[in-house]
Amino acid sequence: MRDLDEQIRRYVDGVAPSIGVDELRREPLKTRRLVPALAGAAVVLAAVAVVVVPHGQSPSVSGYEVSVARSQKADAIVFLTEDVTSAQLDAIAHRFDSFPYVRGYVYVDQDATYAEFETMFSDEPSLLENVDPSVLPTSFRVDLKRRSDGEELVDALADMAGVRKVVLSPSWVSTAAARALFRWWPVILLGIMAVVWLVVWRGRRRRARMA
Amino acid sequence: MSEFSQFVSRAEPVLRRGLVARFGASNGREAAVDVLSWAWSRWDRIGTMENPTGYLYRVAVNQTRRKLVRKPVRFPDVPTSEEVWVEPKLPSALERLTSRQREVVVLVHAYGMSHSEAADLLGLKRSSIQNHLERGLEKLRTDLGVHDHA
Repeated sequence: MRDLDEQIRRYVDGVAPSIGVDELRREPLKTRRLVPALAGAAVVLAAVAVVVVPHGQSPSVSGYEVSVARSQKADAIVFLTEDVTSAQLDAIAHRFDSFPYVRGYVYVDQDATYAEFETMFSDEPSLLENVDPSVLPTSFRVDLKRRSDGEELVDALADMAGVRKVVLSPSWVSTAAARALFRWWPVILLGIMAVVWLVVWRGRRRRARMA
Repeated sequence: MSEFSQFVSRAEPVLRRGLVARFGASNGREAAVDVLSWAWSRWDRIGTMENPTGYLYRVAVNQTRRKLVRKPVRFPDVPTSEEVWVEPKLPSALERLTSRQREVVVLVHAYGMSHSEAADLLGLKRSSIQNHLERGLEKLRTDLGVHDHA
């Protein structure tokens, strides 16, 4: 048998060959570990965001519908299709009557809509000249007992014939977001605590390593 | 050749062999790659240290020890394509040594590092180096049933 020291040298260099500079990773070790950690945090935040954002009605409404929603005291406006029938109007009204969270509602026909439109855009005569009252949508203005019930209203009317769109008052969006935040505060708190713990833990590890 | 490349050519054999002795072949080599990469990104600071190799060795040991907690150290069998014959029982005999004994046997006995260099690298007293070396070699020779010519 050859000398033990020579055998160890041959064995160690055989199973673990030398490392060249080109084999080193340009990204530092800390970064390589930080990237998965940040990815995990992003997934958690995305999951929280999905939960927190109000369901059903998109917060992004635009143009005339927003103007109407802002100008009216109604909590929700149910825009109707152009070809809505009397039977469909009755069915929608009947559904309002059966909902415990609807305090009241009023139907706004095309004449009333146009009058409203004229008031809203009185400083833009050219616009008024080019708008035919027949293109303006009819709607129901709905007053809810609680603004937080708007989400249920959207769900309840989603499959009804004659309903084109349900627009909630813009203030409902912030109300719903606040409600969702309140509902999920334990999850958010745990997330914040986890991030703080991660930062503290990494700092301790680093200090321990430096020592 | 850059200053860091020169450092790698000096420190890499020591780090790799010491870490392989400590953590096994693949984990030890990976630890050496990791810590040299880490040093690369901090060379401005590490390059000014009095004993950067010793510092990096301790960093690698701390990082790898946490990662491999409670995992046994493994040495692969001797490659069959080895041109020069190596005792097949050597890997298992190395596994049976303590990590300190392996480090000292590999670095001091096999690669000729001085006792004081090993003490600086491993953070041990010179007398401890001698003790680990004697006990490790005795155990190794007993397991292999050989007597070293040296």
